[in-house]
Amino acid sequence: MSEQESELRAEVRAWLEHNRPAGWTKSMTGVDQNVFVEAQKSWFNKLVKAGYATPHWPEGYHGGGRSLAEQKVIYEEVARADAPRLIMYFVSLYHAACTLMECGSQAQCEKYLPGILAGEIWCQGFSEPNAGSDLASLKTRAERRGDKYIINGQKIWSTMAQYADRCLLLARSDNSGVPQAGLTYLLLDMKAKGVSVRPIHQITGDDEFSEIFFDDVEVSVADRVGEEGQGWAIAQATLASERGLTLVELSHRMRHKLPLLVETLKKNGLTSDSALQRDLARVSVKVEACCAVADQYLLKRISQTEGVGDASIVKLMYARTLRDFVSLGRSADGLDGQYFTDCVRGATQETGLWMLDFMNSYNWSIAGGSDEVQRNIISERMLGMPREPKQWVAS
Amino acid sequence: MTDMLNDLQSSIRQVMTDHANGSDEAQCWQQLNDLGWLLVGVPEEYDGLGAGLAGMSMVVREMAQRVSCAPVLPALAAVDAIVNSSLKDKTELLGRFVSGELVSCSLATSELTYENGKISGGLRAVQSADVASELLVWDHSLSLLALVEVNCEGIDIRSTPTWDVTRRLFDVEFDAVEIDSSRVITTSRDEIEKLLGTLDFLVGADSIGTAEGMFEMTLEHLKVREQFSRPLAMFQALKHRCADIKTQLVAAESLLADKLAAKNLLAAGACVKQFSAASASWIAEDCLQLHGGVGMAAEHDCHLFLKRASLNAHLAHNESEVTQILLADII
Repeated sequence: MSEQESELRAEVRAWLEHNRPAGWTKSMTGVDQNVFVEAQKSWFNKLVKAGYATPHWPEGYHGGGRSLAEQKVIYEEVARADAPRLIMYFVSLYHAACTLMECGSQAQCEKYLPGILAGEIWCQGFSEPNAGSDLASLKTRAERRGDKYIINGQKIWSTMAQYADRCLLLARSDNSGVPQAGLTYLLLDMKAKGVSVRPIHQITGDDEFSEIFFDDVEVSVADRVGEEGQGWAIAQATLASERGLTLVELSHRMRHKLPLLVETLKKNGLTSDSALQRDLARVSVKVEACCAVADQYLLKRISQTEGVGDASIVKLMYARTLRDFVSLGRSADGLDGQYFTDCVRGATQETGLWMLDFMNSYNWSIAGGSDEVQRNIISERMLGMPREPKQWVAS
Repeated sequence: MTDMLNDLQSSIRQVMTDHANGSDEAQCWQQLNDLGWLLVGVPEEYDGLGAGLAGMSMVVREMAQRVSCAPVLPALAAVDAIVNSSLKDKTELLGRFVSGELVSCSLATSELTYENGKISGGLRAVQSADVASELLVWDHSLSLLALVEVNCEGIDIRSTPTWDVTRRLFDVEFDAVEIDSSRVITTSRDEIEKLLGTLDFLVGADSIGTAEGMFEMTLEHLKVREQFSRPLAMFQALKHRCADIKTQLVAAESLLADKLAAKNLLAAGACVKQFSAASASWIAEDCLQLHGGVGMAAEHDCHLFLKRASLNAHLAHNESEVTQILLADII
């Protein structure tokens, strides 16, 4: 590690010690979503002010110009301090900002980036009820009329969309040709006429995801990113924008929270149970391996030697390791762990309320490209195994 | 299964198709009493069907396929304990407890002590205790099995909501509650262990039913849901997972059927509970994954099954107790 990185680490660590919202897990338990929204806003403002919310932005922007190695340091320290994740701003700070800077026009950057820094909330409008793993088959229509697009359709699994000001929308402008070719990327105002949002009640009691409905919503052509029909390629840029940092952070969070498993064993008088001791050792080693995979991946990105499928291995490894981690907690906590607990807003998967953590672990095995999709990418694109036949006949 | 049990099974399926998953407890309870399903294990001399543990397991399993909220599992176990007793008013008691009145019991390890004719301490996971008229209780050292009226002096009932919303569990505290000697079912450890074995068996049957219900829903989802222009069920990787689940289910139901004739009911029950509950836990976990995003939405029924299977793993004998029972014969 360079001297510069060590200095940054010390600086971030000291800052987090003073500024981290103490006891946030407790204060976010069983509260209304609005309380969580306010807490996110306040934490966002602090991080922005300190320059730690935008280390990935280019030089010249507030907080920007940090190397990927430096960004990693910041993420590791956030994980170490068990500070809240900026769930509500992830799409604006990464997906929206990076897409704009990489693929947007000068005018679009000038129009939207200041708003993002000022705390505008963005959501992602990609997945649809019938287009999840098969995203390219999405059907929300963007029909060109003069200098406007008219949007009709439905999106789903959009994080915090009920609070969003703007939406990164992937919509179909053309039905001819291959599905990927007919997609257009638009920036949609969530307050526009014809937009309605319905939160999805989750099995945990939380409602951080929403459905979005579009009924003749108008979007100016000036709010199109790239050309008509380029949406698929731009969406790939959006999804690549966080560059593996999230899983570095989450893997390290899990590693820092291994003592939670020990606490659960202690609470249940099971510390001398040799079967559980062995399970704990196995999970610990797997968590170490998971952190190593995420770290090595980031090194590849820094040295620009990333290969196809590498990101999928990180995601799959994290999802599988996380499941083992929370399952051991659930199993060791016995009947106690089965009693209902209020959900913890903004929780990751390490609250020690193991049923909640277990259910939240599906966020990583299903959302953001399910384990099954990652396995397809690894087997087909990385290992070069043939794809399933495109055509099929119902027998 | 006998013809009689087959008929009863068909009739339960018929009735339960009209019930939504996890539907109203009181209505379902009334209906199953009216239809005489609690008589399944009661001997013919007491006007029952005489189908014993096989019959009770079948009823519990069928109800679990619809994640029924009715407290059929503790009721069947308690009724069975009364059948095996030599209580004077046995006929009258059986009459009451198969026709609407509930006798419930704890589905967890007893923490009760029995001294000088009085019981003290706590019971956990007593299903639907608030609507029961009597409880079947036993002490921690297995020296007493008795019936206690719920509205006795010294009994305190506290609701303990679980993630599983298809069963309502309660903690019941006993403060030196006098045991009526005419309500003592047995003081024999062997007899009490038979009841515990029965509970393990029935939790196993419930686990199998829960897993079957969720698996059926999952198969339907995979056949209907299309991605990449084909039903998900066409992907071989997913088919193989379903085949593994089916194999596990067949193993669990075979084990249960096989152990029905076992002489040592305690060991047999532990064996059935361990395998069925662990299988159901794994099956439910994978079935939710196979549903994708919709499985994480509360409006879908998936989570009712996932949470029930998860709770079952910690009911009746827990894993350490099961381990001790199973290894007692081997090591």
